[in-house]
Amino acid sequence: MIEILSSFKEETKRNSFIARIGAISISRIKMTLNYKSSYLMVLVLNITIVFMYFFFGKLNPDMEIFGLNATYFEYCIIGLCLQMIVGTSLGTANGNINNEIASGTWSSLFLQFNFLEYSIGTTAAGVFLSSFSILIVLSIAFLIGNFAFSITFQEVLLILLIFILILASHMVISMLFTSFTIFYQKDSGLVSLIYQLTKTFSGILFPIALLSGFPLFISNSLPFTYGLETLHMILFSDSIQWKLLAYNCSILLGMITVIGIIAYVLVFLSLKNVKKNGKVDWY
Amino acid sequence: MSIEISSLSKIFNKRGKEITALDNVSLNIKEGEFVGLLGPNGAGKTTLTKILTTLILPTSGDVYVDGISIHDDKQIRSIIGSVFGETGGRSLYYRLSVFDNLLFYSTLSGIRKTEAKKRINSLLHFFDLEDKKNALIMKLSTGMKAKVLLIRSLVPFPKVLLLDEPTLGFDAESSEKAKELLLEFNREFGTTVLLTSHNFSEMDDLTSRLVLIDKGQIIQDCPPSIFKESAAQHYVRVIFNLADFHYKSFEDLIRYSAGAEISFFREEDRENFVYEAKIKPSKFSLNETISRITILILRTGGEIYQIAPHIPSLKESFLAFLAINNQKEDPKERTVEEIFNLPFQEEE
Repeated sequence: MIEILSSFKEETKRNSFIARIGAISISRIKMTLNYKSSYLMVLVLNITIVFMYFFFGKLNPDMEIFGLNATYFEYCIIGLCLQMIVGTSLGTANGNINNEIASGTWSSLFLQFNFLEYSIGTTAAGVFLSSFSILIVLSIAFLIGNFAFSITFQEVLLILLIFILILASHMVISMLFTSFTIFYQKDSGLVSLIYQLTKTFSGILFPIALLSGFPLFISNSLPFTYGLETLHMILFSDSIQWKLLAYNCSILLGMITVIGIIAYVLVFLSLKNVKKNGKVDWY
Repeated sequence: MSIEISSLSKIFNKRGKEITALDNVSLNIKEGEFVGLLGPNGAGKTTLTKILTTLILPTSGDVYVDGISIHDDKQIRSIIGSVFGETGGRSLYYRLSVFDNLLFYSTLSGIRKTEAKKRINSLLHFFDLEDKKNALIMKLSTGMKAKVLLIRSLVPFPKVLLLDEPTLGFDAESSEKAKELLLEFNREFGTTVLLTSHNFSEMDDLTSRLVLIDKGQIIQDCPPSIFKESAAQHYVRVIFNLADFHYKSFEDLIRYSAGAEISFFREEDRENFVYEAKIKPSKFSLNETISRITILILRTGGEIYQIAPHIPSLKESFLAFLAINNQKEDPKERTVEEIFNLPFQEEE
């Protein structure tokens, strides 16, 4: 008893924003890793999909599918690898809130709830875990198919910037759908729809140049289209097109700001509504 | 004042039907008080706790915790600790270890890791959970999960503890330990505690004030000793032997000579004419009634094995208060006499 009381007599020091985000991330990573079989399955699935495209790309470089040269599949690897991370950043915040509500942890989490910290923490954990499969795929590709890029330090920094913008833009979309999940206490399924649209229309599997009309409009509405276009430019062009880089970055930043603000307001209103109607979980 | 509740009402709207969970409740709890919140299921206890934890908003009225309005939820949450009456530790992460769960929640509540670790370790040691520190929550028993929930509420060192059935599933030893710990927090640090429980002995041992809530209204607010004396009446319990016994003549004798009524009677040993009766004084004081019953039994040639006044338990008083409250709601339903003639229940 004395030991307990003395541990409480010390002055309570408050931790920082970063520490709380770190705690959220670490707990999510541990939770996922404690569910070994599930994580292993996702890992294998990701590796299989990406490597399958890489394998076809190398199989017959002269082969054409729907007018596209087979080497394009090798080009697709970048999009495919990123698509998984994008999927994670798109689904994590919303999916995790949905899980919290369904499992019963929501009411306790709600007491300490900071939406921004929670979204960043869970997304960072998800991205960290899904990056493992990407790292393994790229390593295999490098070892077997001699798939490698030589890039400058400047390009590394630019890729990092685009990567963060891509993640943030998808995280805010997830945050937007979270408001629905909090309000109705169930998942809308809209995140899956956005993910499927992203996979189809953002230039992962075939060039945007092939699109027209409504599909092109959808493509232009998706943040990943701009992110991927910029990454392809950095990796495959002879020189960096600064105008395109600035344009795409501005669009991504604009999307993050506008969607982020709308998401924050909607989540605030949803939280107020559930508090007003006594719908915070089962408790 | 630690908790100030004035004219608090909460009305839920379910499928167009209005349900009043709290009806104009006012309550003040001083800093360092240990208050028990009693009430039947659906009385409004959980709604009140939810409002205090800022999980729901009231329809009308003001609530301040440590001078902070409940509308300032971020501030309130930094000073309260809570256990939500739950079985099976649903609010814990099943795929995280005991230690990781506690560390996660404490970090989220704003405490530094080093401090949190020290507190978690000492509390785990206190509740004999050290060897389960790295076990996943899903592998723990119900009682162990309940201990983790209580530890989680204490680690942030809250000024106000809102505990809803905190010892649900605890074994007897752990329950005593929990009581000791909560009392220490209350005495040593002046932590204000609002305890909701259906464990009457726990309420009796811990609280310095009891608040009884029924149908969304506070119907009693006083110290446990007064609470016990207010509703359920005292009575005399007597075990005696009387040959050639006739219930009707015994009842008349008690009524006219001792000024009392038999509220409970049973034959304890028919062959040896041993009986047990609970007699409620109506004309004389408890001691006077005891004297008169003793004289009556001895004069009629009987023998007394045991005679003692019975002070009602908390549970008896609780049930009596509810019965009186129901009687007020629907006077035709049952008379007060009928209420008190219900068999008294022994304390657990």
